[in-house]
Amino acid sequence: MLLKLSDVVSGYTDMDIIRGVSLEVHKGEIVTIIGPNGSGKSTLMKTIFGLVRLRSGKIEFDGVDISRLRTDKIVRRGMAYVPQERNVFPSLTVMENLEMGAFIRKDKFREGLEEVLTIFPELKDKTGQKVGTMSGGEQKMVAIGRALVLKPTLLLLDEPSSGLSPKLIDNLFKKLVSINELGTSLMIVEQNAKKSLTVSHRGYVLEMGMKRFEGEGKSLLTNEEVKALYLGG
Amino acid sequence: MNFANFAHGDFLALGAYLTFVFSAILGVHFIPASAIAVVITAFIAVCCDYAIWKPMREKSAGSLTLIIISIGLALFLRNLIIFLWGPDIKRYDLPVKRGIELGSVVITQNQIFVIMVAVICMFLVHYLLKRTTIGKAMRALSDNIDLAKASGIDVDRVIRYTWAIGMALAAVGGILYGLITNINPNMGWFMLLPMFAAVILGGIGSPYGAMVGGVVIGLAQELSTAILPTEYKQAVAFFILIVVLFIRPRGILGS
Repeated sequence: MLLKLSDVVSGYTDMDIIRGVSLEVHKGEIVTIIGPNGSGKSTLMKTIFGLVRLRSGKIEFDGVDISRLRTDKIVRRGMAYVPQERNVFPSLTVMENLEMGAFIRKDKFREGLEEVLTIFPELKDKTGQKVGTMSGGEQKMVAIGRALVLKPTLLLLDEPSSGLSPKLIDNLFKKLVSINELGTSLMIVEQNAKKSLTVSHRGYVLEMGMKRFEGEGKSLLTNEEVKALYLGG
Repeated sequence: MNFANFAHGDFLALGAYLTFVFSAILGVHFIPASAIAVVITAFIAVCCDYAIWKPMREKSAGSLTLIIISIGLALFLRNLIIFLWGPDIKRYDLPVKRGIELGSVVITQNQIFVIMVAVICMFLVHYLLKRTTIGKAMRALSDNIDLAKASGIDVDRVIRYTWAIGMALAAVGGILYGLITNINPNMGWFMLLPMFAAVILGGIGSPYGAMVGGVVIGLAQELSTAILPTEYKQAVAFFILIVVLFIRPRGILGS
C-alpha cells in the first residue's frame, strides 16, 4: 500500500470540509477522485500534502505516518503535487521552474531533468523561455515537469485537464499514462471524469466531504447511479 | 512577505553607525569596520525575522499589519541609535584626500569608491538572483509562495536569507551614504522617500527596476540643482515619478 487514509477529517478555521474519508492508493496505480464542485476533492489533496491541517484521522505514505508532517518533509519522502491553478513560477524560465522542483535534492536534478524532457520533448528547445510567456498547454507541461523532477513515487494532480482544449486533454492523459508506466503512481482529482476514469485503475466518488462510491475505473464508468449523478447521464 | 518595509531606512542608518563605532571609536580600519557592520546588521535582520516576522507569517498577518509593525521597528531603531550615540551628526574620521580633477569637474576619491562599490553590489545581486539556487528560490517565492512550499522549498529559510542579504545591502548603502555626506539618526528616514520613489518608478517587486529607478531618481535630483533651487530636489523626483506612472502605471520594468 502506497497511500492509506483512515477516517480523515480536515478543513479550514472553523469548518470541516473533509468529514471522515478513508481511501487508498496502491503502488503503480492511477486513482481518480471525482465529485461535484465543492465536494472537497481539492481540500482532500491538500490535506494529504500537508497544506491543509488534518483535524483527525491518519494518513500513511509508504508505511510511514505522515499525518502531521511538514510539506517539505513529505516531498522528501517521494510525493509531489500539482495544484490546479497558479502551478508554475511565471517569471522564472522553464529550466528554473524545473530546478525549483529539485530544490531539496539538487544532486538529483540532472537525472530528473533528462527524464522530464523525455516525457515532454516539447520543452527541450524552450528551457530558457520565461514560463509566463508560454501557452496554457506548455505551462501545464512545466507544472507537471516541476513535480516530476525528483521522480516521485506518488504524484497528486488537481484538475490537470482544466483550461485545456480537447485535443490537448487527449495528449495530456497519454502523457499521464506514460508517467505511470515509468513507475509513478497517480492520484487525480478531475472534473473531466470520463476521460480520467478511462485511464484509471480505480476511482472514488466524493460528495459533501464523504466517500459515496468506490470501484474500478471502468466499473464506475458504467455504474448507473454514478453515471446519472456525476457523469452527466 | 509582500509588504513595504519602512524600517529599511533605519537599517541603513544602523549600518552606518556600526561602521562609525568600529572605525572612529574602536580604531578599526574603515574597510574591515564596514564589513563587520554589514555582518552585524544582517545578523540583527535575521534576529528580527525570528522575533517578529516569522510569528507574523504564522498568523498570516496582512500587509497593512506588517507595514505598521515595520514603522514601529523603524521608530525603535532610530531612537535606539539616538539613545546609544546621541542626536548629533557624526563622521567616520577618515583622512581627507585630494579630489581628482576631470576638466572642470572635481570628483573625490570617496565618490569614486562609492560608485565602484554600488556597481559591484548590483552585479553581485544580479549573480545571486540569476545564478545561485537560493537566489532563484527567492524569485520563486516572490512569484508564488504556495507553489514554493509545495515544491518542498523551506520557505522560512529562504526568507531569512532574503532578510540577511537585503539588510546587508541596506547597511552598505548607509555606509556609503555616510561616506559622502555624514551620519545622523534621521538619515534613514530621509532616504526612505527617494527609496520608495525609486522602487515604485522601477516597478514594485522588480530588483532590476529598483536599480534603474534608483539611478533615474538620483540623477534627476542632483541634476535638477543646476537649474532649480536645491529645495526642489525631492519635488523633481516625484514629478518624474508621476510622469512615468502616467505612461507606465506599473513602473519602468514592472510587469
